[in-house]
Amino acid sequence: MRLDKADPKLMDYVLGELDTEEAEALATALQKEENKDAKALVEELRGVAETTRRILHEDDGEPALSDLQRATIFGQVEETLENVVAGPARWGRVSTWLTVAAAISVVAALGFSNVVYNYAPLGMKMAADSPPPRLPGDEVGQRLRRRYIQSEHKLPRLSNESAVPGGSVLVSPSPEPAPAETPAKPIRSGFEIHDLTMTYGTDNLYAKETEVATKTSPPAAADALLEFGIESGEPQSIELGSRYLLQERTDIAGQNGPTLDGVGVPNVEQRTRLGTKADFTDDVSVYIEFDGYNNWGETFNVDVPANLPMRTPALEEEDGDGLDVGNMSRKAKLSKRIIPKDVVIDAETARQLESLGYLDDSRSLGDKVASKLPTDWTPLVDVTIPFNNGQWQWNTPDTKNTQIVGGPGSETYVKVTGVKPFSEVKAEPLSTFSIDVGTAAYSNVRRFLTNGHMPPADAVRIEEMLNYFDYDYPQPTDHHPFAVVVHGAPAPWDQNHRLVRIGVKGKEVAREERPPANLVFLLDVSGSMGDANKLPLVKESMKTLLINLTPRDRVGIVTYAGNARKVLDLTPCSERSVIAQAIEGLRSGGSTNGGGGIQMAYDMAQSAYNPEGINRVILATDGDFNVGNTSHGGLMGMIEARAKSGVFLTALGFGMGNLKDSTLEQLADRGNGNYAYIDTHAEARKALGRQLSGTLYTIAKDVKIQVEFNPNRISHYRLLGYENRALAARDFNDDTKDAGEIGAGHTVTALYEIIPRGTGPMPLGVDPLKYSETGTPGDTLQSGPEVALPAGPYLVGEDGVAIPDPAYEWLTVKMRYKQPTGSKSTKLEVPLLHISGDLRETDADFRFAAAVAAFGQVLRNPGYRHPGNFDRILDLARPATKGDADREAFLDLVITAKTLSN
Amino acid sequence: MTTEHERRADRVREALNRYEAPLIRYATRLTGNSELARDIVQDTFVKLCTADWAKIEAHLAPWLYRVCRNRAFDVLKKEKRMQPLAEGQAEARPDNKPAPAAVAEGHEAEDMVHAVLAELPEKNQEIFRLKFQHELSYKEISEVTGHEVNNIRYVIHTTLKTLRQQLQGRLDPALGQ
Repeated sequence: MRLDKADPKLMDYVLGELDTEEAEALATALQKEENKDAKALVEELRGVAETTRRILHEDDGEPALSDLQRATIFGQVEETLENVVAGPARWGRVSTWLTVAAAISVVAALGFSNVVYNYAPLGMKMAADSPPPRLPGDEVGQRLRRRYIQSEHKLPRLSNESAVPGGSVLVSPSPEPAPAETPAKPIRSGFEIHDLTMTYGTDNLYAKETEVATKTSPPAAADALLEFGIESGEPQSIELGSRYLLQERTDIAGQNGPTLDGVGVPNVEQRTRLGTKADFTDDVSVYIEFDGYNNWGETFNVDVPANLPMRTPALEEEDGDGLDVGNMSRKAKLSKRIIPKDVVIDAETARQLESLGYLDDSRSLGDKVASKLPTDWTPLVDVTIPFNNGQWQWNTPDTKNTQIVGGPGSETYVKVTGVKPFSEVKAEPLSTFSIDVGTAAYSNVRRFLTNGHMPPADAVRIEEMLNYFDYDYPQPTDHHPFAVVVHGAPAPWDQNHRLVRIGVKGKEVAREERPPANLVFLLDVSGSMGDANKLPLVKESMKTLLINLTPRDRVGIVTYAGNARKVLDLTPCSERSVIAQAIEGLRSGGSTNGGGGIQMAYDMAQSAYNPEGINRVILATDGDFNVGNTSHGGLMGMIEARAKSGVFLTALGFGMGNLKDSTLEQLADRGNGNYAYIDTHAEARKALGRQLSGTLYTIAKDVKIQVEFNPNRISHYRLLGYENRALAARDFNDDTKDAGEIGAGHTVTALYEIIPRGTGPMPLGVDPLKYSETGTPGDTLQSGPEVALPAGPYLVGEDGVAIPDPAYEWLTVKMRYKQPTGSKSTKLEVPLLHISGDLRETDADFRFAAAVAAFGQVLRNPGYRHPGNFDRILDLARPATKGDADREAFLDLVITAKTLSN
Repeated sequence: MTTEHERRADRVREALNRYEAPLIRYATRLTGNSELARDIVQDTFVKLCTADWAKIEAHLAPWLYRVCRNRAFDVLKKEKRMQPLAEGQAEARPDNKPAPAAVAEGHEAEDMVHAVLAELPEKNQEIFRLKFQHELSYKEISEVTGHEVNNIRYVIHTTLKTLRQQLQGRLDPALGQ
């Protein structure tokens, strides 16, 4: 056998890709003189392959999983065995839209050229003999858990899918014959699906739509269309958002069919469903969805485009939003949008749709309709649906509310009054507080709820719950280190009240631009830290942090138990292995002497103080200081004194049981610092990974907010949260008064609930007041939420430029801050000129924050815990999650709280 | 029950010992974050615990890589959605640089291989690494990535050819001296 040098088989041979027989034949041939050249080439290729292998070998000391991760894996072995009896949960993915069951019937009369789309709540205009569709219950949570059950049993099982060589699937009109008792001319409901051909790609995982054959002429009755929703001749309403089983296949091994993996590994199970959904932009989307469970151990949940041509001229089609594939996704989704011409959605339906998450967009409903619909579209949608239809069980806040101090076990919280009363503007036109970027309360509340307890009221700090989430506020464009935006809209829980949001956004600083950091870890290694969610999690967290540090940063470690001990001197992160070893070696045991450790850690940080960089002590503890310098005041004093040196503090709370939440929060306050509660690895990644720059790099300190309310427009106000951040009005201008810090990229949110309109005298001479009482616009402000208040008349400024009349402003937000190392404060002011008349005109961030604040108030006040309130919080939050995982998780938390409060 | 449990645990342990490090490397390469990679690998093995052993036994390696890969993309997608673009991408890929030992013995070849790889589209880099770093066969790579065997073969052949030429280009002048 003479070998050609260009034969690619030679390379396959070198790479060991030939089967034994072929390889042997080739090896023999290579020994022959005539194949000398080929042999040389093979040798050379071997060398190249070997070099490549060697170079690509990563000499990184065998990365390994942590003990915790290993334990998780082996824990799963146990669990799996237990589940064998119950059957494994295969359909692991829950799509949010599954929770939807808006009672909207879509009735299409088959065989007519005019299809009547009748969007009415509860199927009001359905065919007379149709059973009433089910009400969209409040049991959103339950639906979530029940997944696919609905409708499947109603549907005829279709066996109309045949495998086509080359991997295409033909869903063509040959459903099972209708049951014999079907009336001759049944009123059928449902969409019509014409020929539908889909081909699965073989070069990646995703199903692709490649061809759709449309029949142009009306099909004969026998040209059976794919029908669904019909059982025993009874018309059924199709609930938007439900899925209908079209076909189910099990054990399709051996078929040369559409294996979703494209490598001939057959599916074990596959279901094909028809899904419907609607919203104001897309109106009706119908799509086919495949769920495949195959023996790769992966659940594929592929939303396959269903290009469903509608036969009626009354409909228009609009292209979907494109295949969201790429090589990275296992989900392909394309829904054909079908826009009916005559749609009437009444307010109630619209509200339901909104609450069910169909308006998941920060744009207002009006915008969405306007931007997405064809130009000749006349929206008949009622866009002014009040959110607040008086259903909130919202009592007037009561100052005498009894408060619980101390949660289960020995956890302690600073006592604060349950729900803040309203302040009268004419008595107190100024509201002053220190900013807070802490997020610990949210994690802590989540811990309580997921463990099945309502959190004690004082553990619920609304400001920290608000600030747990990221908001898209604009970045500063001027010289200030942060930007402030102020917006107002009707309060969701009381249409006579308004909610004003103050949003602060710290300048983003790229990783490379962050100054170098000297970080001294002060770790509690006392006996109480031995639990899996304490020291081991601390170690994990430190490793997470280490990854995100640059070689310019330095890390030191001090531990304390009975005694303080220096474990690692400040070490540059270029010596990562040294630091990692020190972390690995940490063990817990002994009692706690927090005081000594604090001294040592600050000493270390100060010894290498870098005025240009970040100097920070990171305290990780469960807060159980029980030996030594335990006097509360003494500890605080010490921290406060050390903070003056320019070394900032980050307090990380771990574990549960004896968490001294109040101690840590106060330590962080006093130590110019921030505080986070870390209960999971995910939480560690958030605080020490994604938001690391913000956690470490303070861009402004002593940040205070003072709001001056215009008594012409506002009679009462109250600040939601920030109870223990309140400052006296005069402290605002007093630069010696300490306040909160803002880190790079941090967002801070504060919400005021205000009662519009107010007149009367204004005593108080704390700050020169900006607003006089001359204007009378207040008299017109009693109107409902749909009336957008006009900005006030304009005054003509000195240079002839129109400026808004301050008498018409609602309020002014004033902020003071200092540069991180400065001692003199800078002030900035932002007035609120306009309050939106409709909550839904606000951005999703606003509505989400409102929901979080409402949730906080419900948790703080047992009197608010009506199931309906939880539902309304969900209604408010669900369309505003923007797909953010943290926000989605918030929904679950509300559902949990609802269950617990029943 | 106990024996079944032990058997399962043994299988998982065996797989873990063999594939833990390579999978972490692979996931690190995909995500650019070794911590995230560990979580992904954890999830992969958790999945292994629930998998039907009889069905995957013969394909264990590609199965693990495959699950790991899918999980990585899921996570990446989620993370991308949650954080500003820069962060995930800015994070240094840990090992694009030659290891110190290798530098001494011939950093030219080293740099060249990395340079050639860096030029490739990500898809091809992944294929190439699965072959030369993780030593999977064409077929297995296809099972992992879903790309066609022929495509994989093509990518590997052309890349190796390029490397060969480049290596010659480097070596020839040296030899000539």
